[in-house]
Amino acid sequence: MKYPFYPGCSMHSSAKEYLDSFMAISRYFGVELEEVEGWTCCAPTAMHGISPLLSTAIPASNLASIEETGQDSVMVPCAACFSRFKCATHEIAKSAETAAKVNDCIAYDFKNSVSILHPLEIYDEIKHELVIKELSKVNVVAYYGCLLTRPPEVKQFDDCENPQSMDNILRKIGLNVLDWSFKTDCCGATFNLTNKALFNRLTGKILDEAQLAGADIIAVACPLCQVNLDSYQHEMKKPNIPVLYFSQLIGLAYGIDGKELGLDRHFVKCEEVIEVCLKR
Amino acid sequence: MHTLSLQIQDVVGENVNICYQCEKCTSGCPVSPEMEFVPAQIMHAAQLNLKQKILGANSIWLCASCETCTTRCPQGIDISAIMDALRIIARREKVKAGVPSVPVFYNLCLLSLRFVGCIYELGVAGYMRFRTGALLEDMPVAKEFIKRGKIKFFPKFRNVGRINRIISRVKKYESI
Repeated sequence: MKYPFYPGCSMHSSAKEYLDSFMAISRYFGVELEEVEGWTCCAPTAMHGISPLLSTAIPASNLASIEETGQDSVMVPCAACFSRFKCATHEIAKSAETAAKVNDCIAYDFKNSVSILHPLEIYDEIKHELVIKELSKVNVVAYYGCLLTRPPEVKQFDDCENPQSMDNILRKIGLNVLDWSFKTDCCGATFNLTNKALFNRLTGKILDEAQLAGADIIAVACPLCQVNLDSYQHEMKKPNIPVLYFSQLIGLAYGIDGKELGLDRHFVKCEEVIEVCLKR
Repeated sequence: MHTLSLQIQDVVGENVNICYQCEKCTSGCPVSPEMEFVPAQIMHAAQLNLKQKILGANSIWLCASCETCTTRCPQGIDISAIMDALRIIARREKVKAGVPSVPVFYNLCLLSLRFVGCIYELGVAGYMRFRTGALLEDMPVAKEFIKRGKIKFFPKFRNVGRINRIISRVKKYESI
């Protein structure tokens, strides 16, 4: 199977290990990914507080370039980009007036024919026989964040209050998935840059609750959530819980080398817990 | 003279008048403890056209756009979009922001989009740190980011021409 693939800004910088691990597991799944040519920024959160039309037209221009090549879907692993693409297609489908304005702005007759896929939707069909090394029963909580599931009529992705897609994947590769009530709470978003006190409270709350639930690992699917939860634990004097992408954990179960999965890129060291995961 | 509720309707097509104050938005809001007016109060104030009160409040800039309120509103109001509308109106009417760092961040993202075609993380984060006076204290973390190859020193330019063509056309319909 072959998909056009939209990495977005962060997968080529702060979320490099998401890109590496996602590429590595895709090879195992027999999924061929081809980076969308000439892609630009998805016009994330800040932009819809400046201009709703701009924040719809820019994702649409990226989708238009895929549509032009005759392809009908795109793989978008970054939760923020996924969200912008889904919102843009929703707005365009909802209003003929918006659709006409967008067409004028991108100088293209956009048919809105490209479906937006997140790897959690595709890779939930994990075939057990593919798992080379089932991981041991290490405690993990799945953290989805805001952008993947909300609002549900736009995202059409899992249950918005109690999503299960990542939980199911992690369970299939052998981990002990814990239930907790902070799966979709806000990770602190960009307050890291604008309001540090608020950031510390929001991010600290997620970390505290993960610890309270008994988690040894927090699994994530969003570059911003990963950076927020991982990078400031030391500064916030938190208990150092490794924050790993679900794709890295799948990669480990497929016997892919930790370095190839970018496990050495995290702030909170994860060697010890990975060793326990692999001991079975 | 337009009322605030009509202005909101014009910017994002949402109707504040159907809110009946159940406060589900407020109980789910992760940042309501820090807000001068919680989301339900913002809705009520918008119905009462108390424009200056809410445009100057920190609430509209503290909203994280997590969309919990939008998801749970029994009246189907997109409260998150209303927060966007209030930010846009405040920006247009040059109202002093209740949290000045947030509009600075917005402008920086727009600048990055215009000149680089993507979010230049080091530039945006570095300037915000400088601006909030935390540049020095954040140096150790920044160094670790660079060491781990998690942040690029120089940006990769991405189709800036297309972005700017779109921006200039969007300006026909909306001020940016």
